[in-house]
Formats: sequence, structure tokens, C-alpha cells
Amino acid sequence: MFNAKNMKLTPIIGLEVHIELSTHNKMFCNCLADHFGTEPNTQICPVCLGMPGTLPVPNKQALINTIKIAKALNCKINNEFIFARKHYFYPDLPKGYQITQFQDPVGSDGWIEIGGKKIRINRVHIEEDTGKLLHEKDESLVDFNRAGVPLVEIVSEPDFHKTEEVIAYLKEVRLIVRNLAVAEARMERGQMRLEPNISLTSNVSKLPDYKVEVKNINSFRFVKGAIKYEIKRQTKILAKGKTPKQETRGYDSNDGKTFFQRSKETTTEYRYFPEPDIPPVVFEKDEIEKIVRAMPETRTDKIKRFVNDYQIKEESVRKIVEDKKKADYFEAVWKEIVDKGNKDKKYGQQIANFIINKKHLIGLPPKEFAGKIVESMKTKRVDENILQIILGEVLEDHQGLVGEYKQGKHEVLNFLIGKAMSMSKGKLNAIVIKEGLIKRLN
Amino acid sequence: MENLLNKTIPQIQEMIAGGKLSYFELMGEIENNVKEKEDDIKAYLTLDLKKAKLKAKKLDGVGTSLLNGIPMSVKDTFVTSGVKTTVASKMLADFVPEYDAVSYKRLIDSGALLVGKTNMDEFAHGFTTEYSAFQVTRNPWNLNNVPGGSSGGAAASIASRTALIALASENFGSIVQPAALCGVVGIKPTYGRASRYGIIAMASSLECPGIMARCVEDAAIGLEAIVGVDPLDATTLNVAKERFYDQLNLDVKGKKIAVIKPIMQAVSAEIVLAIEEMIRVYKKMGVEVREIDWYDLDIDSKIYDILYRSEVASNLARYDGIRYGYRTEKETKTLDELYQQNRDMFGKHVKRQIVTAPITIDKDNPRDSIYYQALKIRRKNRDYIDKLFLEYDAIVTPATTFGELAIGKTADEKWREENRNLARINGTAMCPTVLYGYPSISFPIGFLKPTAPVGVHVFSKRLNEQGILNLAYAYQEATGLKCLTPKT
Repeated sequence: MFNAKNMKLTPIIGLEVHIELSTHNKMFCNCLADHFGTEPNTQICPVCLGMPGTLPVPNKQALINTIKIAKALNCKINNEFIFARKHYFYPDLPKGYQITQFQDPVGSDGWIEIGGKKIRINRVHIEEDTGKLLHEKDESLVDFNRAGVPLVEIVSEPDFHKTEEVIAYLKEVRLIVRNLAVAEARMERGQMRLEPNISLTSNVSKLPDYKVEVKNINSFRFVKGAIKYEIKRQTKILAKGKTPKQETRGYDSNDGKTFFQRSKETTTEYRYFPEPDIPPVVFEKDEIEKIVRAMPETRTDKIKRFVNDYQIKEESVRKIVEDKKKADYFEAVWKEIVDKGNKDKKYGQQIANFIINKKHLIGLPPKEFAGKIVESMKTKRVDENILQIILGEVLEDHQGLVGEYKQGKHEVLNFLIGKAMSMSKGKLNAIVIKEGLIKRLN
Repeated sequence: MENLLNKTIPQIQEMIAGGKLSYFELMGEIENNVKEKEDDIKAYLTLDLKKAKLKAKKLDGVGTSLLNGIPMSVKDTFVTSGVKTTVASKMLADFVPEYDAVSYKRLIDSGALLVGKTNMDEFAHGFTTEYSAFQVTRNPWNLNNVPGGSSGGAAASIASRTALIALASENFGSIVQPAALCGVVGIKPTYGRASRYGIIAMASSLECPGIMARCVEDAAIGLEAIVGVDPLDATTLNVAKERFYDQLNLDVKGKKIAVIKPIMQAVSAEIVLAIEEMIRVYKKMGVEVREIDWYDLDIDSKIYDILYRSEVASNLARYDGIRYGYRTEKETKTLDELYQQNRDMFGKHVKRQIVTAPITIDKDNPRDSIYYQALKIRRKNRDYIDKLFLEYDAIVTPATTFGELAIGKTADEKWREENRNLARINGTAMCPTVLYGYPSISFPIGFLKPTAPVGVHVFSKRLNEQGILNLAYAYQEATGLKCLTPKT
């Protein structure tokens, strides 16, 4: 028995993220997939209703899009996808099983970087969404428009210790799928659903032997709330020397608390087995390569490229790349400047600074914006020239002090700065002069 | 017009083309037969003669084609839009689908006319058609006997001439055995050659549509209509269509067929005699016949059993009464209670399959479960038989290891005990085609007695439908065992 009171407990958090793909058709039939705001049960057919004798035929575009997501998350891509049946009863599940993937998912063993930390991704697989239950006064109704919509599940390893990391990861994943243009991932439309699993440990090198899953959260704020509440709840239990139960919980956004849903003992036996109605789907190696080649640049690659090609600080690059529009605008402006024959790498950082700090200018056509950048750099260059001329004169006039400085008498610097300032008649500031002087003196 | 219904489909079409017969008259002949025999035989769960006659009338004078205006029965496991489809279960007693099974649609598009939906064991689970939730079908050769199953209604409809062609489905002898017991021809193609879309699935990876008819020619014509890749069934094969009927060939000289020795040693002397007679006829035609050993008489049945139970339980999970099918009228308080009430409508035998399924798949380690192990052995055994087909053109077994079967017999505990070994051997004979997807044909080779025809089961490598059709055709033409007519 350990005394948790005196122990430092670290949260161990993993995430399952479900994202609806924005394909034209559903996963296994030809019904329209975009169900948001549609009249209930208007986008249905015998296949997605699970009528007797109907068969699923996989949507190739959905598989291609899943390959893209898996690739962008640095996963290994399998070239043979096997579908599996996951069995449970619920009125929104038409066939009494969900077609998902069990062995050989589309992607496995991936990672993404969040603020310099690698988050490992266990697997990326494709499955079908369920229908929706609508509860009225004394009856429950089912809308099957969502049944069969392609759903990608991204499962992370339990690599998070802080809520901030979780949120950063979720934002990154959302940006990635949006950047790929394979999903809109709008939380308020239920197109992105989050399931954190949380446990606490006193020994980070060893995973706790329990975990608590919180199901179906549809906002970043709520996921934060759920994790915060769970940490508090589990800490209390551990403080009593007990181990929290392995269970599935829900989150009530009204009181910010999680609540018990089901325990491990009452978990359904899903009885996974390979879907006999769909033969393994094989993608030849060159087919996968072709898909990957046609993919838009991943965010990681884009950040790297901006840092290397345009010589911009990574911190600035992230601010630009988070919005595809800003990144495209940047490149349009850069092109204008380079087209004018300005090859100086320093323009990169200047454009970035303008885009980040002078948002009101972004409305301008890239050409005009480019003009402003070139203008701003010119003034800077003039300043630089003036600086060097003035510094040259000051040092020339006070050669004795220069000698003293070189012998270690650094106090003389202030005198030299003052001289330069008065010579520039206020056009140069003290810091610029100081930097310039030190450069020349060393 | 007894004579008319002894003619093959091409002969009938020739008469119609020559103006000696009309489609309407042909359907009238079928109607007479239905009136005369159906009360005794009960092959159909639903009859639709009125519509069939109307359609037949419209076809007259418009031209002919092989399947045009041909009266057809369809096993009640195939969904038929606008026509009740019950799969012989109370679960779907009032189910009228709004979509068509692809095989059915292809036959209809070829001109065939639906006479009605035939009886079967509930959800195709059974081999006597006694386990239909609605009625027992009798064998047209002897009304005290079963017609076999699960496609018993289909076989009885052909034998009693209430249809000239029957759409049925094969799964563990579901076509092979009733065809033999009713003295008709039954064929199922390679798995994946004909679409399964719209077959109310018992076990997906084991199911296959097929055709029953009075003679090999008709079976070839029916088969030709149903094969072909289907965008609605991902397991269908993209193989060019073949003209099975045009390519029927009597020359089978030099073909090599294998007879499975351990099976022959286990069946009754009268069945052995019939098969020996068949071998004699084939040898006379220049066919080489060899006896071969078998790898294991039990393993295929066991694999089948595991896959079957797992898939049945899964495929039947959708019958929850929420969207269609039987729904309790009782007030239920919880969701579980609603499921329990609704799903109670399954018959006893179906329920047994469902509840035994969970043992085949381990909940914690699905990959270690016996289901996955069965899949592994399945691949191994398939390779073994594939190799045999490098040497042999076909493998032959009895179409059923049981002779004629009286109604009610299989329910008798004592009978079951006495026939345990025959049931086991029957599994050996029926499993390979279902587990490994080989095409197979069942055709009459003689009689155990005047009221009990006996059949043989011939299967070959995948996509060799023409080969087994030719073997059956050559035998039929050499012996005249064709369009057999029960005396009852």
C-alpha cells in the first residue's frame, strides 16, 4: 500500500479521435454522406439501413482519404486493408454490428510533434458512423442519415501529461485533416468527436493498470473540463489508497462532471471477426505512392520548408502556417518580391512579421503588399548605411577610447554611444548603436 | 399436356417461336399443375400466378429468347420487390422488400416469370425443409418423404413441374441434396461468380446462389443468366460471361474424375451400387475414374461449423424489430427487454446457432479464437484440394449419404444416433465446395426404388462450371435420365 498523499501523481492521457470524412458518398453505399441539417431519414437506402440480404461495398475515395490522414500522421501504411465486424446491439446500429477495422488498419505506428514533444499514434483506421437517436417526450426516434458515413478513428498512445498538450494535439490533428481537405472537422456539427482516457501514476515509466475512458465529447473546452475533473476525482480515490475502477464515463457539460456509464465487467463482447462480405482491399505500392505524391504538403513539411527556404524563425512560421490562407498569401507576396529581382533572404522574416503584426494589410493584393515590404526594407537599409558612416566617424575621432575599451575598460562604451546618437540627430536609437559598436569593436 | 413439361426449355421456346404454343398457355399449364399438386406438396410460401399470367400474355408475339416467359420459382431467401419475402421465419412473416436480389433481377431481366416463393428451412438452417416456420414441404416422388433442404421447396417445385427453373441457394448441400432427393439437376457456380446481393444471409462466406431445373440444358441456361460481376457485391469476380448452354459438349473422353474412397466405404450398399453404375457409364465414354483417399473426414465439417455459427449469429443480429420484421406488441420497459421480446420470434434451431456463436470468438483475444484458427486451416485445406485439381477434372461424392428420408425422421433421437456417422460423412462430401468455393452440380443417376431417385455430386476447380455441366450433360444423354417425372 502506498500513500498517495505524499506522492507526486502524473496524469497519463491517451486520445481516441473520430473524424467524419467529407466524401460525397457514404462508406458502403451510394447515399450522400453530408447529413448535417438534413430532414431525418432522407439519405438512406437498403444497404445503410441494414435491410435483409444487402451487402456493403467499400468507398474507395474514403480509403484514399484515410491513407492521406495516416500518412500525414507519419504512420506506416498497410497495403491490404481488412474490415471487421464489431458486434453490439443499439437501435442506431442497423446491422447489429459496426463495420470497422481490427487487424491491419490503414495506418499504424505514427507520430506528430507538439511543441517539440513527440506524440505517438497507435493506429488510424476507417469505419462507419451510426445513426442518431432523437429523444422526444415519451418516445425515441432514430435518424439513419448518419448511418454509414465514413469515420476515421485516430488512436494515440497515452503520451500526454497535461491538458495543454491534449488541446495542442487536437488542434494540430484538426489542422492536418483540414489542410488535406478530407474533412471539415467542425466540432459543433459533430464531425470531430473526442474520447480521452485518463489515469494517474506516481511512476511515469510504468503505465497504471487501469484507465478511465470518457466518451463522446464534442468540444475542446469540454475535453479540458473532463480531464480536469477526472484528475481531481482519481486523485481523491488514490489518496485513500484505492485504485480507481476501469470504466467508461460520460461528461456532463452543465456541471462539468464526468459520470459513470459502464464498467469493464459489463462491457459488451464485441466478437470481432473479419467481415466476410468484403474481401481484403489491396492497394499496390505504386498506387499508395501516387496518393502520397498528390497529397498537399503536410504541416510539418511546410514548417520545415518555410524555415529553410525563407529563413524565417520557426515561431513565426507556425503562426503563418496554421492558416492556409496566410501561408498562401505569404508565398504570393514572396513571389512578387523575388520576381522584382530582390533575392535577399531577409525579406522572408519581414513578410512574416508584417503578416503576423499588420493583419489589416492582408486584404491588399500581394503586389501592393510586396511593395510595402520592399519599401520598409529600403528604409532599414538606409538606416544601416547611416549607422556605419556615423560609427566609422565616432571611432575615428576617439581612437584612444577604442584602445581603452579593447583593454577591458568597457565603461567607455556609453560615451561612444552618446557621441553617435548626437551625430545621428536622433535617427538612430541607442540599442542599434550599441549593437553596431560592439560588433565593430570586437 | 404432360408431354409439354417433359420438354427442355430450348424445345419449348422452339414451339413458341413456331407458333405451336404461347407463353400464356405455358403459364396456364403451370397453373394447372399448381392447382393439382400444390395442396399436397406445399412447395410455395407465396404464389403469384395472377401476375405471372398477365406478364406471360404481354410477352406473346413480341419474340423469344431462352428464358423469355419461363415460369420460375424463387427460394424465399431471395428478396423480391413487392413480393413477400419471409426466409421461412416468423421474424419476417410480413416482410415485403422494396429492392431485388441481383440473381433474381437478372433472371427477370432475361424474361423469366415469377410463379412464387419457395419454402425452405428457416433462415436456410436445416436439410429437410421441415424447419420452416410455416409448413412442411413433401417430396413429389413420395409424399411421406422430405424433399431435402434447405432448398426443399425449390427442388419440389421443379419435380412437381410447378416451375421450369428454380433460383435457390447453396450452403452445405442446400441445393445438391434436395436436387438429388427430388430427381432434378442442381448447380451452384464458383463462389463469387454470381451475386449474393439480396440473399438473406445465413453465413456470408459460405452462401452462393444456384439453379435447379429438370435437365442439364435448363440448368445451364439459368446459370448463364445469374453469373457475372456485380457492383453491389464486393466478393463477385470480374470474369467474362460464358455461354454455358451453347457450349454444352458431349465429348468427355480423357477426362479424369476422382471418387473419394472413405466416403464410398461409409454409405449404404444401394448408393454404392448406383455410383458404381455411373462409373461404368463414364468409363464407357472414355472417362478415367480413380479412387482417392481424403485428408481428414472431420476437419472440414468442424471448420464449417465454427465459421457457420459465428457468421449466422452475426448476420442475424440485424433482426431486432426496430426497422422491420417482427415487433412485439407487449409494453417493454427497457431496450434489452424489447430486443428479447422481438428476437424471441426466431425458431429453436436458429436460436441454437446464435447462442453457441460466442464460444467461437474470444472476447479478449479475438485473434487467438477458434474462428481465426479455423480460417487458417481453411486456407491450408483449400491448397490441398486445389492441388488435386491439377490432376483431376472433377471429384465425385454421393449427393447425399442418406437415402430417402421420411418426414419426421430427423427429429427422432434414435434415428439421429444411428445415423451419426452418415451425417459426419455427409459433411465431408458437402463442405469442400462451400468452404473453398468450387462449382458443383448434382444430377440424377438412377433410382433406389421407383419412388426414390438417387443423385451424384460432382465438383471441380474454380471457374470450371462448363466442365461439370459437360460431365453431367454427357451422362444425362447417355442414360436418358432427364426430366424425370414422379408418378404421384
